[in-house]
Amino acid sequence: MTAPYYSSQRNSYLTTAKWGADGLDPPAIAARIVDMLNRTSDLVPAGQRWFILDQKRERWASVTESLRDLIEANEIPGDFGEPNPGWGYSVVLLTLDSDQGPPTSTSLDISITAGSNSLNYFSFEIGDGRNLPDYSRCTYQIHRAMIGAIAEVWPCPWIFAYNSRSPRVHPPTDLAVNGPLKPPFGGAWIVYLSAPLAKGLAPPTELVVEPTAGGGLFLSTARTLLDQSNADEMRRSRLLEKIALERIGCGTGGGFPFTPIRVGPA
Amino acid sequence: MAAKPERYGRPKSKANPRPSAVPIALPEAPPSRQPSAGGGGGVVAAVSVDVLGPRNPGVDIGSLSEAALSGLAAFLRGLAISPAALAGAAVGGFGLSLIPTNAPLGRTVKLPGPGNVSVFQELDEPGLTFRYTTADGVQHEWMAAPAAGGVYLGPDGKVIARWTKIAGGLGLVVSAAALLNDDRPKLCPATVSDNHGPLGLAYEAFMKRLFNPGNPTPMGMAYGFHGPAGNLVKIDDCQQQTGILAEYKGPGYAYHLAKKDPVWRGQLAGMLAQAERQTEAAPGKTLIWFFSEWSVYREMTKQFAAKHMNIKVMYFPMLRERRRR
Repeated sequence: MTAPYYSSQRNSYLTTAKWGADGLDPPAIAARIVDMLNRTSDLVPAGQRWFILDQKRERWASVTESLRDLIEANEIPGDFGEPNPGWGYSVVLLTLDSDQGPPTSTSLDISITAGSNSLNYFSFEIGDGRNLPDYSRCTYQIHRAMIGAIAEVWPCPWIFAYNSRSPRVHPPTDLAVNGPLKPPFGGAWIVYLSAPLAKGLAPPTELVVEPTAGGGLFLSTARTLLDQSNADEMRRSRLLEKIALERIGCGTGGGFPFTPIRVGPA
Repeated sequence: MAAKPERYGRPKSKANPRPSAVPIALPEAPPSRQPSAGGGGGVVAAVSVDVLGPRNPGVDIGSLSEAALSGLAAFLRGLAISPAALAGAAVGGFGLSLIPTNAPLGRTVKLPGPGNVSVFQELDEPGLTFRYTTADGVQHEWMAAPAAGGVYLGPDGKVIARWTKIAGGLGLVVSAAALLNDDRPKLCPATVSDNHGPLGLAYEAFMKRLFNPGNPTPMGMAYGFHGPAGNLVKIDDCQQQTGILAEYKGPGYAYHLAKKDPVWRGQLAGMLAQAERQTEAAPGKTLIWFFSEWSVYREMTKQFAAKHMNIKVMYFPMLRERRRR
């Protein structure tokens, strides 16, 4: 399904994770990327394969090329053009038909900043960002599998998947009680909490709960895509949002925090 | 009280912050061109300016009678240490300067004294542009229009320059002290040098003049904030009256966005990372990203909304682009 580009319609499912200083260098980042791609190889759409953005040469390079060198070349420069080892490395990964692109509505799209001394993040979505995704490919199973891989590979204390929709389709009952969805955790769909953040949490029985071997938790509103027009699903989403706010907290600017505000119950 | 400027500036109409006039008794007749030490000393004593520190507004040239101002100008002229210096563009001291009208127009005149003050007078416009650096290291530009009585008002409403008669013509007396002692609350941090490339430079210059009318952030300067790990984060502009921050994204993105090529993907990754850094470094501040290209504006509106970024997005093309649409 493809919507006209200039449509204001948006119905995206995004997975994001953030973390603070990680001390990762390009070889370590490359090793983690290879590990993650191996764990999620079955998610790649038929006929596509992974490419990494070579920002220096402005091309898509196969991930079978020297990842370490490509990542090293993608070091984020300082805002004032100065050498700046503090902001880490920018990695953009896409599944494409060929190195000529362009991305399609089924492409898997990953952006990572790692190796920074403060602001590291991971972002995953399906589609090319300009059109609505192909909903036959954008599923709970794919996001859940990706979240599992992220949790095992990257040093993130939490992962958050959500639905961002415009125009809004809130059920009146939800809107009357809770008001419009707000950042950072509005539209909560799937949340991963690492063991320190999940400690002592007794999640509501309405949520899908999957404990991890290490003491963490995966929490979901359902095993399907979140439907914001469904009052019952939105009620569960609000429960999940409340847990995320309580366990993860807000960033200083009201957005996602790079490091958890709290560790353990509030 | 002087009237408001007609074209530029934002003088405060209420509660004129101008300090009370310093009592002075200037000679009616201008002193000789090369005054004796006694003559000059007498004027200095009368002006009662001891030290022109950062909080000393100096002589209020707006409160002087025409005769007193003319006398003061003559005194300033006499401060020239040699005939060669007198022939220069400006002479002065004690936070005051005199620019004689025989100095060429259409070029920048550097004033002596603190604050690195310079004045630019257009050949065909009556306004003056002042560039200066306040004690906190912030560089400023202020465009002042002539107000009633031949005076020019500073950003906080004080008289910073005034025409007066001197022997052989007119001279402009400039009070650098009044200019440097801006009484307004400081809502923006210090500016820092910005060494970005030529792409978007014209758009930035265009927007800076609109964002701080009459007092644009100088070209090549931006505002520095510190991120969580101490990294310096650049934000293009800050509105002096409100503290609202602005980032300008000029042309150069739409072509790649339309092609969905790797260049665009790199630009997008860069903008999103920059947005993250800015919101972390300036928490709670209103931040607006201005775009000159419609398609990029639309795309980034979607991106920021989807990624829950607390950034306002506005489309504001340059005038030439506007006509094309």
